[in-house]
Amino acid sequence: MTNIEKYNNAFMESFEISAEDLPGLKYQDIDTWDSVGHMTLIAALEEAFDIMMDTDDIIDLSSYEKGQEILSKEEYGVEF
Amino acid sequence: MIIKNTPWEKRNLGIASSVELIIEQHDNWSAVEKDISDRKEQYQVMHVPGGLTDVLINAQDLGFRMIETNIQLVRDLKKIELPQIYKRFEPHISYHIADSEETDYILSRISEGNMFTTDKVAKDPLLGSKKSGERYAFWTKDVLSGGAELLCMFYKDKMIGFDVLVKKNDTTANAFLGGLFPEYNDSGLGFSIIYQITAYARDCGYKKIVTGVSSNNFPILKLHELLGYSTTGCTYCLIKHA
Repeated sequence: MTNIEKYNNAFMESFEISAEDLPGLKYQDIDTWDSVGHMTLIAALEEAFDIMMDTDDIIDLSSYEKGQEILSKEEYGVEF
Repeated sequence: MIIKNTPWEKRNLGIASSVELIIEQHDNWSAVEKDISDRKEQYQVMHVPGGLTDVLINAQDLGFRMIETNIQLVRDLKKIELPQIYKRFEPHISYHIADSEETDYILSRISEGNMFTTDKVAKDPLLGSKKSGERYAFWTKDVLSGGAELLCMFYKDKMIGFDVLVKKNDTTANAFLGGLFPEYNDSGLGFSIIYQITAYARDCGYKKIVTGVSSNNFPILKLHELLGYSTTGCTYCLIKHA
């Protein structure tokens, strides 16, 4: 599975949405991306990429695109 | 039924007259109807115990409108622990009792009207969230003067929100009001507000903590459940502008 597939799956499984819902998706755009859903997503991303995210990055992950930007940082090393 | 005049709402909401009508389990609707059908107060709020759907339907026939359900929650304070992923925030979250400058700051943030947007006042098209903020600020000031404690909540060195704890009795505390400042709404930090007031209540020696959330704010209900709170009951809330 490619990294983008893993990344998309984390979102789709955490929020029960489909691939076409992902582009432009932001925190609180959908009922399932609330504060509880946010941590569910973080746990899914950490498991998918075997990483442990910094608390500042957890807070900053406010959209589908922002998440890619954060995971691309050197400390996580995820290439999309 | 308990009929409670609420003159403070004149100050809080800028309305001429208001009343709270608190329906009790054993009330007979005919008697209630007699007492409420010709009331003249400008703003009337009715609280109906959950499950009394006959009252709910009859009251709506008299012009009352359902606006929210208040869900009552309780948490035993014997053991408090954050779920695994949240534990990593623990070294970075803290609180202290607000000093007078911080109190003024928090009250001014509440009165801005963009912190509380789901309660019966905020959701009321004739009142709105600005009025709701002003009302909560006045109300908080009142409970603080009655001995409640105001806690400032921090993430690292930033104040992210607040919580107000009111003593209910020797064993039970009430988390009266709390929230994140709007700039932290999409941060996932809401848990820290609930967790820290819960921990503070335990540190004060209380055995349990109670609170209430609006059915219009489902994410907060989910967060309380995640942090070990359970529901104990609910009250329907209806409003009428005469």
